[in-house]
Amino acid sequence: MPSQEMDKLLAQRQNVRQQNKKSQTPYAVGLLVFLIAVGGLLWTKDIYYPIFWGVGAALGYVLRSSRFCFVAAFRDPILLKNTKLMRAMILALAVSSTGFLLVQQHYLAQHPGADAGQLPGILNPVGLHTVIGAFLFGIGMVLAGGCASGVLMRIGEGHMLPWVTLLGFLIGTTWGAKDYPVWYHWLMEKAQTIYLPDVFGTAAAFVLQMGALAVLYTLAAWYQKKHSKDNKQENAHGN
Amino acid sequence: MKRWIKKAWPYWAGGLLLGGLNVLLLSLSGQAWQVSGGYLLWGAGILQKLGVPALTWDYFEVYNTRYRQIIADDSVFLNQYTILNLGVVAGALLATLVSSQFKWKKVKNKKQVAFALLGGILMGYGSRLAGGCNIGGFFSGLASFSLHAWVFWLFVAVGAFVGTRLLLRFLVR
Repeated sequence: MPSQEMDKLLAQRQNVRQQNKKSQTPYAVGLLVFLIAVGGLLWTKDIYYPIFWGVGAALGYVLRSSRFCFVAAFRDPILLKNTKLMRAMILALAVSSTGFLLVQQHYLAQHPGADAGQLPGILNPVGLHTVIGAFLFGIGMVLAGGCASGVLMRIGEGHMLPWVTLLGFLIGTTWGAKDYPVWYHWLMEKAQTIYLPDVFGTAAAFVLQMGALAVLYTLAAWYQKKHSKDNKQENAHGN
Repeated sequence: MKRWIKKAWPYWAGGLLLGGLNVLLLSLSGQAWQVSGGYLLWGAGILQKLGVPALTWDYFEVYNTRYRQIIADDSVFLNQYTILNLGVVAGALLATLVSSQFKWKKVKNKKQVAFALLGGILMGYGSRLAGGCNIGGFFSGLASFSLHAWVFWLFVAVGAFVGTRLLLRFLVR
């Protein structure tokens, strides 16, 4: 399929719900007031709760407004030979890597000699369990057509199907927690948490990670361009 | 004026904002964006209500110290992880209403339901092994400079490839 047609298809997917004519702005205003009220209520329980509430809402707003989907980011390069969303995700990773490193550096300045597992962010032991878990996750997200964040976003859009995916996710993740000791003794016990700045030094780790992301971005752009070119040639010959 | 508000933001803008918001969350709260941890607490909390003592499983006791306080406070359903998730739903709903595009969307057929359920179970189980989902395990993990997230990336892509093959074979035809 030529790339313009593909872009059109993607644009269609992005704007598929434009036909709906009736204004829902009053509901939006009502919801906004409700969100702020809930934030205030949460504040009385724990001063950190409104942060999670507010940033969560902002994340949901951005996910929906840009039709961002982590599953599509991984799947579209395979299914549609389109890497637009993958490249946007790489951009997001570059931004957050920079910010996270600053936060971690700040933390380390205050807590010298802190263990990798204690650093701000999410640092997990790496090993065969990561391989198996990510592989299962990859199959599941494509079959379900949405991952953990996409499910939340689509529930907000009014879709019914992600409720089923959510139910499945709850079953699976609880099941996994029950089986955890088995996996733990088999694979995870000896697995190490590896913080890249501990291995390479902070500056080198940063340069390496940004370099890797830049290479992947370039590859993704090249991959899409190559495929749209191949298709054009095929079409020229075929017709 | 009405037209631009309905138009989807470009992906790259969404990416930049999601990255920035994750940094904001980490610097304000000390915690990075994650989703499946909140799901686990819901799942285990429901089992507990049904009479299965899920919250005393080794998973919560031995290894993962971060859930201990939440369980002690009896706030399995309402805590920072679940509030973050509910916030995402609320924010997506708000954005949908702002663009006047909210519509209940029904399930099309049984096959779709089966795939959604199966996919959900696979994702859920995988997220416990890999230590998180696309968000916590991968998106926040990679930004945290943890090697596991790079491994996650590689194998979630392999899984997505296999999943796409399965989908084309069983769902489309």
